[in-house]
Amino acid sequence: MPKVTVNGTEIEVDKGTTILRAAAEAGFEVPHFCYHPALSIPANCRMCLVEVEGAWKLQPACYSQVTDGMVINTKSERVVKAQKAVLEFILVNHPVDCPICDQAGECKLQDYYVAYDSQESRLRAEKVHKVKVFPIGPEVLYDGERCILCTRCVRFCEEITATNELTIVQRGDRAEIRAFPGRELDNKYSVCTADICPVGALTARDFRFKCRVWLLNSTDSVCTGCSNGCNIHLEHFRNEIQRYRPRFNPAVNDYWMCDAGRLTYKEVHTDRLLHPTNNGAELNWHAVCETVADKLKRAIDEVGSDKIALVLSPQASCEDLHLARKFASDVIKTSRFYMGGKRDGDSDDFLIKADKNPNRRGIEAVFGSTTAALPFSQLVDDIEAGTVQVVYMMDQYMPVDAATAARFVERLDKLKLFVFQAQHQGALAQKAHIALPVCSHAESEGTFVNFEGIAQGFERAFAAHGESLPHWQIFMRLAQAMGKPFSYTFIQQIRKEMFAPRPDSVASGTAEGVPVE
Amino acid sequence: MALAFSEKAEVHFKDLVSRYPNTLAALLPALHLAQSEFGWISVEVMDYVARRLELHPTKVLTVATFYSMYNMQPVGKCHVQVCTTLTCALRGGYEILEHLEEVLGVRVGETSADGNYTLSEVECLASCGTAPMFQATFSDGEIEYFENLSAERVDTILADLNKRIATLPNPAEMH
Repeated sequence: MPKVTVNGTEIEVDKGTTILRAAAEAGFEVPHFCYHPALSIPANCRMCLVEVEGAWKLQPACYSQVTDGMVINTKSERVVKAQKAVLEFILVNHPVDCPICDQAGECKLQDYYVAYDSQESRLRAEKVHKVKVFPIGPEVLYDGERCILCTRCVRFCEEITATNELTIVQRGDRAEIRAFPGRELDNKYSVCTADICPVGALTARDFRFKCRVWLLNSTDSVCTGCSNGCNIHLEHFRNEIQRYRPRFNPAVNDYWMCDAGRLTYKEVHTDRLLHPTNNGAELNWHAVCETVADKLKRAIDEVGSDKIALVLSPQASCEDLHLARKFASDVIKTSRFYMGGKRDGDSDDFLIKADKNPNRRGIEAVFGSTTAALPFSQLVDDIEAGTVQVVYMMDQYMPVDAATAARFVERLDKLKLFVFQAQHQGALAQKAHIALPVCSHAESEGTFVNFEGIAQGFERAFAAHGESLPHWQIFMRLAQAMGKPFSYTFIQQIRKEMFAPRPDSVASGTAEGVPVE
Repeated sequence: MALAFSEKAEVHFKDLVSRYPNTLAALLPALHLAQSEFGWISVEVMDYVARRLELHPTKVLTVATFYSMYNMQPVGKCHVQVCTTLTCALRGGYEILEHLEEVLGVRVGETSADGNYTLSEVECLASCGTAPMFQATFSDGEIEYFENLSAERVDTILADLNKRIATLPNPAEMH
């Protein structure tokens, strides 16, 4: 293995390591714009030039591989001068409109200017003007003046999505990023180009002018858009999610996520059920739990536990489902489960999965089999036949076509008791005898198991909306009200019990992607 | 109407593609061929060339816009390209250019209202021994040099050209 010296620090690295990575291993940052670890290396921005002893010219650190005995200097006078020159060159036609730029605060050009340049502009001529706010795609806007032509977006479209929408047109100071005339940057991952854009040239339409990035708080979470479980930075301000940003996880989503998944955060803030209600009247949690307990007890006496059905939600976390199972088996003493959740949607061979529920494998893991829950359409028939007279439903999603869903809503009138425990208002909440508000994944912590069986923890970002509670806490309260309390205080205790065979697998909750199997 | 090369151009196209290791390498000559065939490089032409070379249209777009000798706008029947590089500049290239602007009633880069002439300023055309000079590209694909120019000679040349271009097709309508 080659031994190299970076700024006097000697380290040993693998053969074929680039100078940039070797320097990073030695603890030195080499500034770069065009280099991205997931893309090919064009070495066109020249920001990463470093001095290699014995080489006459400065070398691009992103591209040059180390050789044994190489002596690298990333901070020499020549390097500093080159960095200043490169930044001055990039800034010649840059508008420096940081005050109105969405990227400000997470802009590489801004950061590097402060760290490596910090000199006054010597330019006295008019800057070249190019397009501003150019709609390069349905989800992404382009600002030609801010663009530094690093071609990250071009390479993303060539190498990751293989859709080839973008390219550079013209040359010299007229060069810009464009799609072919009449076509757009319209693929399912287009907002990733805004993520990897080192400056404010490509910005996501959804996030533009919503919030300054330094006001955002970031919480490690998991996207709930489909069963792929892309790792995300859930970024929020004042109890409201502002955007999702992909979080690097080579086992799941690498650096990417899909556009549809990015926008699923809107569900968290739309039509939320905020207060527990009994036949439409708002109650506090204590009163509503007493009421539910009362009604459930009466139902058990009148129709028997066997006719009480629990609709499981693959949108809920493993902890929620674990207590749902425990509540059903220990408190109600029924094993009549039905599968809720969203209907299947579109899929591709990259990240998007047809199963739009983040935790179907979690139900398998918690209940031990894939057949623990009956299909939802069966429930409609069973209500009709009278074999089900009480429904306790988690989440409002119905994995059936519109006609069957309408039939289900109609049949609800036949029930003795319908307890609806969900995030959202809607037809079901209106029909419910008891509606219990549940908080979203942003307001609770838990674990999702993705389609490959990788258990991933997500953390609580902000306080629950309204009076909503996580599913598991509601089951705790109900068990207490029914006179058979569970002995948990913290979610970690549930986790420990849930994953008893391998207690270390998710206990840390760091979402590192620990395989369950 | 779908674009297609004429029979003659098709032979030429197949020949030039066979001479390169991959189709991307054949893009420059293919675009020149398309320009002489269709008059100028429109969006439809770029799409057609991309389809013929099995490349992504964006590859054609980036190349066609990078080089200045591909006409991204329709030109006149006769494209007059006046050299103003060193030798021509010293020998009066700019005077020729100004004279042409005056006579044709257009500025550099423009096309005359009747669609007959487009005037461009270009770099060295390797005819320094006979400076000043201009090159005329006709819409039928012919290219001709006019050398050892003076204002008077330009006037006689234009008189001849007027007769000649009466029979030529207008590139704006060639596809």
